Amino acid sequence: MRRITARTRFLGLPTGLFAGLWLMILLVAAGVTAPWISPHDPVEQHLEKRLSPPCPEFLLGTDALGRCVASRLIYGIRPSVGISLSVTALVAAVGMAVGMLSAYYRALDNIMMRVTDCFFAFPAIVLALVMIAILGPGIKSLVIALAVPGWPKYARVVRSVALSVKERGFVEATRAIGGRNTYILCRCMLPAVWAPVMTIATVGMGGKVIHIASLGFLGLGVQPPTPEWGTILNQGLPFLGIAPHISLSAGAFIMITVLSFTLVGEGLREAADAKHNAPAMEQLLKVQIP
Amino acid sequence: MIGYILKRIAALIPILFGISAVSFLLFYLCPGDPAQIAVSALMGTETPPEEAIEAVRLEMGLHLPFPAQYAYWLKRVGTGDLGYSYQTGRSVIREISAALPASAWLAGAAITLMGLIVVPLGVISAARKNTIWDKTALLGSLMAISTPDFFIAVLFIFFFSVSLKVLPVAGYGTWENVVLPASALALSNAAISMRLMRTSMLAALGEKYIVTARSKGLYEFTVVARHALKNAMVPVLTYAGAQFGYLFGGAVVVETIFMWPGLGRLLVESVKARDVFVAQGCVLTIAFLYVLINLAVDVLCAVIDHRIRYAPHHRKN
Repeated sequence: MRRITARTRFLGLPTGLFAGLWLMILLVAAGVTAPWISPHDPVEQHLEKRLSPPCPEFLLGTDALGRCVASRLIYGIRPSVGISLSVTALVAAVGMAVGMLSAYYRALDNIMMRVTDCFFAFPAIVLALVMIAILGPGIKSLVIALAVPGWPKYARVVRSVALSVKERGFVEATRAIGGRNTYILCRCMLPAVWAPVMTIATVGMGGKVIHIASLGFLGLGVQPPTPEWGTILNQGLPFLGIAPHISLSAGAFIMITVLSFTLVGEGLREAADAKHNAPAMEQLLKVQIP
Repeated sequence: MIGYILKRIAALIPILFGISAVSFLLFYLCPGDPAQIAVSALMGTETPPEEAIEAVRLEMGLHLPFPAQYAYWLKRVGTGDLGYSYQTGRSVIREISAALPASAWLAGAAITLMGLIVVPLGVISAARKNTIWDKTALLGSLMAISTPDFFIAVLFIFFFSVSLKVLPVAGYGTWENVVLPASALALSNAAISMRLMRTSMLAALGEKYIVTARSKGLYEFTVVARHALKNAMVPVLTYAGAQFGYLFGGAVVVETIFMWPGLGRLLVESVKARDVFVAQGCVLTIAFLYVLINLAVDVLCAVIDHRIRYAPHHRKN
């Protein structure tokens, strides 16, 4: 049997990372330039052309109200990628703070880890649903709803990395020459936790895109008339038999977006793996259900 | 063995308390007076009599300060009283016990299918590392990680129900109804487990007892399937246990698409209708089930791999 050992590369990058980065750049660029590149207004209704299949005028057809699906999907990049980016930045910051502090101050460690244990018992989507029930639908509550179940995973991973760094010689040396706690935390331990945090953050962004779409699908996420992928997918379901292009193209957009984040995350992990023994992808993902 | 189980149960007690505190706190923060919402919904008026609200408030202990309210609620939960549904007027316990069998049926079917995908693919991937089989399996898992479970469900409905018309679109009752939701959940959850199976199989195949087994002249199949697989299963089982726990309540979207009358759908419906006690009961049940299933899996792993019982208790990361 042929063994595939040589890794294909493009421009010095592994294929997966290269493809993922390109997809990501393309998506973000399309989201930013949505008003210029989308062929139609995403909320304009062409009622005489309802549920039209893909044609030269409407590249991905129209929905039940005659709105251009392609334009709606391009505008849909904005809430999905934007919210997942802000949620990820928020949970990574909180998780890193909690993880590093509990690794450094042992008194805090036990109680913080018990708290994360409790959070792991709730599936992310369940906590998010309940938070939406409390806060009411809307973009702000969506960010909070996705951030509440997100941080414990970062705290766990950061804590385990920080614990091993803490025992290294250079930390002890820094303390011996009079380095203060804040200095040790920010200058000795923070650089070490960046690599795993970047990896879970990129993969986690894909997970957030899925959660945003799930909540949109249930009607509890980004509210209409803002075009959102999960909502578009749900609105297309009754017409799956006669106009499958609506749901299928919305799903394809979600899939491609998540794929690009996963590819970049894996590429980063492999790059870190080559340098030093970073925890494997499975280990990082284990604490989370996608 | 009994000592190990008791130790694990003792470690659970603070977590169970934490879960109940989180569930209570989440709904304590809910805006609106639950007593007033309950009475208005039950009597069907916007302005229910003040005495009725006061009576319900007393019954639910809402007049008490926060810690006492939590203790009162905990005592009620201990006796199986989780309140009443605003929508149906039935007790929350009845609503949940009506939804549990459906969830168990779906989660069980999904996890069985998942095992049938994960074990053979993971083992082949590891045993034939870096071949075309391995690469294809890894590419497949990458695609499955990137596809939301509800999109797999929609694709299945499109192909099998709408185009080929071989399976029902939605519903509950016959075995045909369970095929599509269970396979959608199995496929999307199999991706990470399959990689975990591969990694842990590779680690097991590198152990010295495998060299011993091979040097005894055993068939490669026996070495892989009997000697390596047993120890490689432990991390996969632990993870699959967590997934099984999550499937009980976390399959909200798939249950909603297929109109599956399980816990996930009950939660979504109650959140949409702001039926607070049902939602609280669902959240509490989902978290408790998750913890109990993980306990069962830990015990199962200790039975398979005796080293676990004697090792100092490592925290799972």
